[in-house]
Amino acid sequence: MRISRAGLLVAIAVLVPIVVELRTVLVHLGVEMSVTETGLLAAAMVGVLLAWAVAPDVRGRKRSNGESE
Amino acid sequence: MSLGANSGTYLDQFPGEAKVIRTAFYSSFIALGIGALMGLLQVFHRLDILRLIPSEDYYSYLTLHAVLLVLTFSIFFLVGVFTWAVTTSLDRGLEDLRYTWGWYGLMAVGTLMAGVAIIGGFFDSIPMSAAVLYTFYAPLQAHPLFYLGLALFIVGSWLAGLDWFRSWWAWRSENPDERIPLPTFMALTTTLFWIISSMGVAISVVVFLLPWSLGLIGQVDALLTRTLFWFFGHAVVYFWLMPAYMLWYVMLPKISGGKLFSDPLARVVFVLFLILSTPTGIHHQYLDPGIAEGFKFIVMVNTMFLLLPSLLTAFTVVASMEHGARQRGGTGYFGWLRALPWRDPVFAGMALAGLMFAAAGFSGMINAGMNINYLVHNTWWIVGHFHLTIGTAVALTFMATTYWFLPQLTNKEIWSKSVGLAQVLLWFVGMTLMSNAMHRSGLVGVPRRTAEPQYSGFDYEVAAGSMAELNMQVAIGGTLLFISTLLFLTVVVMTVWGSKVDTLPANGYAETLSGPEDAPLVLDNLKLWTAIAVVLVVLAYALPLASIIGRRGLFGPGGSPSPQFIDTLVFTGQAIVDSAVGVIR
Repeated sequence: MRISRAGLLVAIAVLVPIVVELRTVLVHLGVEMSVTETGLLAAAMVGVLLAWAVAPDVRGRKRSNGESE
Repeated sequence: MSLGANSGTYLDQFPGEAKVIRTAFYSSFIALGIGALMGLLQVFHRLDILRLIPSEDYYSYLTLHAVLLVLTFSIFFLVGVFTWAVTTSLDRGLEDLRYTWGWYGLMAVGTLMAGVAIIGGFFDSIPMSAAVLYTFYAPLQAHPLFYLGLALFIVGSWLAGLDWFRSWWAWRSENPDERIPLPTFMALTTTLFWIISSMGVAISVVVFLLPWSLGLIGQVDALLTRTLFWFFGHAVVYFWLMPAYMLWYVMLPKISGGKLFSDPLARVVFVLFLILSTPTGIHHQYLDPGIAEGFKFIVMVNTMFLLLPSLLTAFTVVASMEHGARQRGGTGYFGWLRALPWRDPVFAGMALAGLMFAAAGFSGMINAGMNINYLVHNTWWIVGHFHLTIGTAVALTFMATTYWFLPQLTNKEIWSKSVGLAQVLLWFVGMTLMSNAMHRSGLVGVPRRTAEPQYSGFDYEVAAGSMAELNMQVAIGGTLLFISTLLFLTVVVMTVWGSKVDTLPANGYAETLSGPEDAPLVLDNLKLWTAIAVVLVVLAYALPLASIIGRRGLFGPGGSPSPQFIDTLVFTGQAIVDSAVGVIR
């Protein structure tokens, strides 16, 4: 993994305010999303984050964090 | 001082002081538990999900929730933190533990008295009530026990501050050429503005509200007592915040694996808070009639200056965290973030609290702006704002650092760091949902401080989604926050129940990249900064207070105090004020 499991959990938590605020921002850009659509967007974002986290680092870097998971 | 210079945990180094701090923390956690339950019941009542009591008793919920969380939870915790900071950084115990237990006892008795008066409001058989909310604005009147309890609590906190000063004075006499260690400097500057600012509420309570509730005087002036309350009411926010700031400065870099970026910058920040915290309170009164717009404008400018220390803090703390991450092998513009110890609830909780505080700063600027404040004044926006400041920046930092302090104070390992991490993340998510919905509700005019925000035949038009969705967001957020509180208390109880270990890290705090030797000596001149703080307070408040008293008298229009000796005192006082106003004009 490119990120520790705890780091991933924190990143998912940080997505919550981003999604919540994004819905309001999008309304001001003329895009209205229902709660269901917002939930789906959140799920997609978490999916992308998970895919990034578990994919091998193309630059071959090792995870620098010495945390034990 | 290098940290961990004395080996062993805090309990090993200062067993007597550790007992006092533990007791203060436990008092704080009891208040947190009860206050959080009141918060959940309040959310359910207001949203009409579950109503256990009639709506007229809602204000007792609200008062208990606010007093227990913003005064009792936060102040009991912070007196413990500052006691730790002073003793650790001076490397000496307090001067007299009997005195220390004395101020703790005063605060505990004061809390009990105020709490009994509030809880009495729930029972018809108990002839007392204090449903006056945290601000206790007249003409709302509480039982005398409430005011007396608050007065004792505040006096107890003053005596705590004096305790830290006594330690510093004793240390200074033995180390005349040394700079004040940073944590002690932070505790002392905070104490100074706390004493200056809480004079306002002390006068309001002791001179006006308590005699009024006892029937000694017939009426009080609502505007004067409100103004005296806000003399203290904004600075108290910084009284809660400064220990959180201190922990971000002296603990977060250490937990990150690095050093504090700059000791001098940290000192500048605390000096700025000392001089600017109090002359800002009138920004809570932008909509109060009876205070001239010019005074409000001056206070707005003072408030905007407070952005500076907050931005300095954001820079210094993030720079320190980056330094720590790079020490742990982190690289890249943002890649270093991955090297931070996110697994540790102490770090994760403090970092997320800091992140939420940035959002609180933005909404705070809106509150502080005179014109745009009119849009959000007395709406749910304000409640959303202070749940980000005291409710997250402070509360989440305090809970997260408990996972560091508790082992230091008990010699026992934290029961479960994984549960601790889940707890701080749950708080972050819950507060995001609740606070966001409160802010957005406030923008469309949903009022605060009411059990019945629903109006028949009227719909709020929210910008995105619907009111029902916002209400649901508040309900879900409030529930997550309550669950997070329960998890926190579970970890505390299970930790205290655990067995002692001897593998805990030594007590200490972060070393610095740029130390006190780089800070100008003048920064340690507490007399100078206190004098400037007092002058600024006089400039901000003398004319508004003289104007209020000059026009309305000390007791408001038509107010006639009794018994007669008060009348005489008032007559003399008014003559002095009139003369002063005449000279000023």
